[in-house]
Amino acid sequence: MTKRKLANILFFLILVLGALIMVFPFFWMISTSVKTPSEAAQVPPMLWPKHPHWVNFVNAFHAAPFGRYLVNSLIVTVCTTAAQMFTSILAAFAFSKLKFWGKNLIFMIFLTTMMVPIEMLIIPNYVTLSETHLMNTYLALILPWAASFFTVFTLRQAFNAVPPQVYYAAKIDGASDWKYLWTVLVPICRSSIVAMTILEVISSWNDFMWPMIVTNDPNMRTLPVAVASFTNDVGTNYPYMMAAATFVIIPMIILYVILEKYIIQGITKGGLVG
Amino acid sequence: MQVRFSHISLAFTPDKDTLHDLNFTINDGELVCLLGPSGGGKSTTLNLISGLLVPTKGKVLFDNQDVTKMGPSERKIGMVFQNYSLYPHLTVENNIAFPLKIAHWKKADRLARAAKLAKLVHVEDQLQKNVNELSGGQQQRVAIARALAKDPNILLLDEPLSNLDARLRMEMREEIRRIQQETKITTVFVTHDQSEAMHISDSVMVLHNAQIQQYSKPNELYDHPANQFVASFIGDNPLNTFDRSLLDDTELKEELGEVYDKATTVGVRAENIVLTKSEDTYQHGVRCKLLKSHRYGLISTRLYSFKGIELDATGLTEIHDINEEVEIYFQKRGFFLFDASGNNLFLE
Repeated sequence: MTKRKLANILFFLILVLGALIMVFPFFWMISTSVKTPSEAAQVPPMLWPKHPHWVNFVNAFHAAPFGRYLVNSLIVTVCTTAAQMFTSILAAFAFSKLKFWGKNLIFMIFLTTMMVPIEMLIIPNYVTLSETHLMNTYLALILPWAASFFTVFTLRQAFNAVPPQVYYAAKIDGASDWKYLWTVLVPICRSSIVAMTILEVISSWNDFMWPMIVTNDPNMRTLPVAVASFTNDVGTNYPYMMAAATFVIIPMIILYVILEKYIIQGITKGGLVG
Repeated sequence: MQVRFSHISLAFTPDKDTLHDLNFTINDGELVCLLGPSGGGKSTTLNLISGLLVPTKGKVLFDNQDVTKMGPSERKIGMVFQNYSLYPHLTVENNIAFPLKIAHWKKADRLARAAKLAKLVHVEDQLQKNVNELSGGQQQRVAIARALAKDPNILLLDEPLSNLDARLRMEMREEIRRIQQETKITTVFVTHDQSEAMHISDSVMVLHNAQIQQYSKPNELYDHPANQFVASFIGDNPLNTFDRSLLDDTELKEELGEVYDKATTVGVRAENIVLTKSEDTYQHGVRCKLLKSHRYGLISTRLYSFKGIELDATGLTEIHDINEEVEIYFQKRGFFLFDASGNNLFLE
């Protein structure tokens, strides 16, 4: 009994340590955001300032048109996620349940694209968008991410796990492929779909590099790019930057807390390691 | 509704027919079992009736209307699968009502229909539950109710009892019979379990090697099997078979007469081996030695040795010693002679 208790305590301590390591960057972000620039640069660093400057948040918010950036980020995230989920669900259904010529070959070709790093795609995508005069538009921010084979692949696995008899049953009940997909298959696989949606929302919301490259009009910037704008030729205003970073990530944290159950379910069910 | 297959063949690969030239009629209001070992073509036949498969050759007719090219939803059929195939995200009520929702029924109407069907299959107190909370038997009841929702002309059941335990299987077997008789719906039932088929159906179609081996009333199958395959497949005990030549020097040969010369194989049901002759048996027996004797519960089994081959016998009550030589007699109703292609010679 005591041995088990001891093991429990040890286990608990390890978990606490892990949690602290994970939480520390967030704490540091908030702590820095309420320091003065000189406090932020101080060596050795101070854990928490004596007089927190909460006013940094107000100043940071007014330093740039964050309202506009927030709208941009929302539009891009919602549209990217919606487009990507829609195309992925359709593609996953085709690869999972439909029969067509060259299905496996096409699937293999798509699979190999997963081995191409995102960075490699930046230049060809950039060239395509600039040739089609789409720079500085929402389309430029959305289109390259409107399809993702990773999502297709994960959803296909989830769809494959649904027994084929359910498909036949739906056919006999009079459902078309389209009806079956949206009234049976998607609801059955909702935890995987929600998980993939959340992952895409997070990655789209946090994306920095692509918006940075395809927008130079300040009106088209998204939040992460705006945060980086606190760095200029003279140096970086860390407290403002961290204050901005704080309100950029707050929506994501809220979203995660609300949907945590689905994220965990979806990831464990699909058997994928993200 | 009457179902007719006219010269139906189906080949998944060009060189081999999965089903070969099937011709049969299932009469309106009948419950017909498709029986046979796995790979015999019974589920394939069912899927041809349902429209999930399309034949390579031939026609499927419902009441003389050609439905060969029709999809499953146009054929007015209901189907129940082995693994229930309910929609796991819906309640019992919504599962039963799903086909009606697809058919754009009004909500109130479809829920009323679902309630009525739930009553028929005895799950009326489970309507609001999620289907995953139900036992296997209850899930299968829901699946039957769903299959009946659109008031189909034909009900198709693909091994509906295979996932249930033995006791529940017997109960559901009777239930399916009851529901079929109450609704008077033409029903096709696929099973590999001969006793299930014998108990439930008006007629049984035995399928093996892509062909119909025999299609008749259950008792007919047992009493007058068309061939060696049917004789050995039907019945609770194994069929003893041996080469005809083993009887060449017995008086039984004379008693069997002309038909004997055409035969190559002899078949005797284990339950039709007795130790005393009577009017039911052939008058000449064969000499055997008892090798083993076994009894569990009601059933006793014996193993006799006859000219180096082993014969199973069941239902014998007279006691005698191991290794003792006795004369055994064959009851006529369980004794068959088959020709080289396996046909039952007594039917000719």
